[in-house]
Amino acid sequence: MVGIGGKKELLRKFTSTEMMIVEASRFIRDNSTVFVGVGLSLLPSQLAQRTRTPNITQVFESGIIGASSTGRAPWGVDDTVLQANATAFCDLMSALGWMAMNNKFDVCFLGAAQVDKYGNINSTTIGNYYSPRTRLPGSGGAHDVATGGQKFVIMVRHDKSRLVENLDYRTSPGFIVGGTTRKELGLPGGGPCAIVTDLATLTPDPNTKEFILTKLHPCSTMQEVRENTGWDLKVSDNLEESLPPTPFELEVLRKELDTTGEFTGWRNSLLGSQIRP
Amino acid sequence: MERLDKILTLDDAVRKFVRDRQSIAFAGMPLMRKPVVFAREILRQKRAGNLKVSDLLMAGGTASFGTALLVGAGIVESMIVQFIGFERAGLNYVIKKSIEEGVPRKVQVEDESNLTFNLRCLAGSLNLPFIPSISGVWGDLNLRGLGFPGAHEYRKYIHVRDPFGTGRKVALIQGLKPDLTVIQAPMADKDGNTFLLGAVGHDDLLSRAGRQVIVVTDHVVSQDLCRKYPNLVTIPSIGVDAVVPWRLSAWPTGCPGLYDPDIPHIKLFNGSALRNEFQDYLDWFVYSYKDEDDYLQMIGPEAERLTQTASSPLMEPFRKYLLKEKELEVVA
Repeated sequence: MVGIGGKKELLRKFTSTEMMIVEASRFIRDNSTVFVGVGLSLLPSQLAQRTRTPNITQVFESGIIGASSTGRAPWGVDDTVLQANATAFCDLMSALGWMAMNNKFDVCFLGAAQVDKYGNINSTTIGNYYSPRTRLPGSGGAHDVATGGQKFVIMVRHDKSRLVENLDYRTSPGFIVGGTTRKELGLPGGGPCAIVTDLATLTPDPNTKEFILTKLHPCSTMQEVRENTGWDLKVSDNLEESLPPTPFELEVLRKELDTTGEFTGWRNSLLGSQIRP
Repeated sequence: MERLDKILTLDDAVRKFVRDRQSIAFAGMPLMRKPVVFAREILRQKRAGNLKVSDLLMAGGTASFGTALLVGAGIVESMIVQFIGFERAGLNYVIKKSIEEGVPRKVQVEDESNLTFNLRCLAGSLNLPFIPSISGVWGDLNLRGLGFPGAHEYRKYIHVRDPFGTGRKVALIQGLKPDLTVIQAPMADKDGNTFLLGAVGHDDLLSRAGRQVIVVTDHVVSQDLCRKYPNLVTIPSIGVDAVVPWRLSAWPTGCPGLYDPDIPHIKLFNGSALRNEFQDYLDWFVYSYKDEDDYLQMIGPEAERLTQTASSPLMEPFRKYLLKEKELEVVA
């Protein structure tokens, strides 16, 4: 592993958000069916299809199936760019009621405003629900995908206000209170398989279902990760380091998916002279 | 018996169908097929003194642009929401302000997931009082229920075990029949047979749940199209009470096959809310135009760019069935 100085040097080559998107995209296998979420979680499958896994089928909750990733990045799961080259159209009920509840997705991507150590998600309100400090978008299809999806990746920025001990509002189910509690509740899906942040990847302990640190991004330190986690984060005995984004992945991210740097911040945070998209 | 030829002008439709304390559902997804021009017309008719509305109940259908206009103008009392925002184009600051700061007034909110909301509409469309669901078994979605119409709080999901023996836990959720559903469509015939292009979202279910249904359509097509491709009618005329022709009626949301969402305009709108200039937005983009042509003038050359949509091949097979304005006058 590189020393702390070397790690921060890496952030002149790519941003931590780019690292998060690339790392999340690695959960996609070729020839698989991917449920695509809203916001940043739109990007991993767009990246994967343009780089490593061209033969995936993307499903969007609006009812778009098989839209291949070409042209500009979509603004949402209902954007016209996705409607231009789909293989089938259906509706919300089919995407969330039929496909999600019947194990039709190999992997799903969900965003979160808060996540707890059992992978339960809040995307509704910060503060009291009845008079919230911050009102967020709400469930959308996230509750349904989390209930039914066999395997889902949660994407969230790593800080104490987001990886929390207790959620302000329980929008979407992870492993409830750990152990077998999710199974006992009878939810059809297997639950979350990873929390991918801009600093690290957390995966659930097979027995307790508590999320532990299993992969450190090359640009972050263990201390940083622990300081920015709202619970006492356990570390896996087999801690690994994730691979940095490849030049091709960075090129696709910057030239096709986020040309302005609005989402990954690459234009602002990298040294001007080093930007060679 | 079904009345044929349901074409109405936009202002007539708003005056005829909109009532205070009514529950209204706008179909469409956050960036797609929102009947925004109908929301504009509610505000315009209210300002002209032709319509008295002060406490509308927005009965779901992802809170996007149209809902935000009504919330920002202070005529929404409560709403069912699944999703508030414009996805990657930003949060919905008008609705956020109303919930967080009570500006211009505090709106009561009931949260649903996309699936639980769709199931409520399915129950409504089947005339069922409730329906079982796996979504809603866990979590805080059932913190607050607002009984529509009337917006009184009620006990929301009720959890029961499958009485047929599997023992599986399900949530019972109430059916929903919005008083008025407004659909935006690329094309419909004068009787209301409606064609949607691209993903259906929940527009089909909402049209079946609504007690009354208005289709705001960018184009009116000849009925030959229905007779030639009856398979492609998403909403049959039986479920439609009025057809309102208006071009670019979803703007600034998109209409697959016809035009892209206008992201710069959505950001401008959000900016106006952040800077407390929402009233100026209304003056510029809601109260400013006289008629449909004037409305298109207001959007201006931007329309040209939006209609160069990658999704236009979806519309290609149908263009020859579009009725010209003159032919429309004959049918109307």
